[in-house]
Amino acid sequence: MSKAGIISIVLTVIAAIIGYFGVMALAPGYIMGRAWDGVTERAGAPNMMIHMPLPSAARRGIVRLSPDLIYSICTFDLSKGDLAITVPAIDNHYWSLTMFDDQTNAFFVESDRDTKGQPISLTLSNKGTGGEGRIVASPSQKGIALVRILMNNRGEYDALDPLRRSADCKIVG
Amino acid sequence: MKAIILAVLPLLGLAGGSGFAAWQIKSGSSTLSIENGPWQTAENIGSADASLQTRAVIALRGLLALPDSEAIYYNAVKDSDGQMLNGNCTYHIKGGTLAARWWSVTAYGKDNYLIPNRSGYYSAGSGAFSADQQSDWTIAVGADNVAGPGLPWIPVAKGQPFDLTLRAYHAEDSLLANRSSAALPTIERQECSA
Repeated sequence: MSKAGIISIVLTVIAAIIGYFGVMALAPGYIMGRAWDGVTERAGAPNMMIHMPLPSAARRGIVRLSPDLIYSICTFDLSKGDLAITVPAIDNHYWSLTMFDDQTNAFFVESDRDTKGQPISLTLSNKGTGGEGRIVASPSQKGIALVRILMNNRGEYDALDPLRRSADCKIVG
Repeated sequence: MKAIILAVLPLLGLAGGSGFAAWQIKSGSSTLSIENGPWQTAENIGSADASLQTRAVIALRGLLALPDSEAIYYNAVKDSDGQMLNGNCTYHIKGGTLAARWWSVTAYGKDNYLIPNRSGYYSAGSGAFSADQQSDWTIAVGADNVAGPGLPWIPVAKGQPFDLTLRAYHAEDSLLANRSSAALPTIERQECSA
């Protein structure tokens, strides 16, 4: 084989490897970006808590939702300032707050087991400092905060829905 | 001509590598590398510590999944005999006590969404069973209600492939540390129609 042929094959292998790992590396950010855009469009703006309806086959957008959970979701954009997040305690139920960065990584999670039944109140900042109270540093400017509440059965939705509506996120400057 | 071929080959390599990655992400192939009977899972789901492949697949098929400390997720596309799950067949999922605060099994269609059905049921789990039943339980899965009295039923679409997700919230260390060997439910195929 000619020298040019060998070089071409080597470049082909290198290009295949770059293509493979490039797609793998870029996929989470791309998929998260699309999800962020979709939820934000539904909310009308970022930094607002949306209380999602009961998951069902008719609900599209985020895949593989659990039909046993009630979800409230906040897409955040910290370019506007720090974000205050509050989550009420729901007695005798599993509930949690999880925050994801723009690469889909969960950088914060806390559930009723961690808070010992107390509500969550914190400020999310991409500086990780400033303000009073509990400050949580975000590794990215954009991301998603997700509140989950586990229903013992789907018939509980009507009773739990008003309780979770005090979950909130808002820019505090 | 030879020069053109030599120049185009790397572009084909780039396209091939990208295409293979896209196929792996879409199919979930080889990323849920921990097997336990018909169930598959991975470590560090939802975490920056997960492998590149796991993070990409979870982003597509399980976006916003909880990290291990909160929940572990098992997925099954085959029954315990290795046959693909299909809505032409009925199944019994049989299990015992799971070392977790709460667990459930949910059916999803090939599009990764809940499966439309008239009953509005999509899952069944620990909440469906009394304390006495937790150690020995059965859930029926099928397009028609084949559950029988007192047996929870998860409807699926007739003739359509589907998969099952087993969620275990606040799993105990005995399950977290033994994902490939902990006792998990079996998925037993019952009757099939054409």
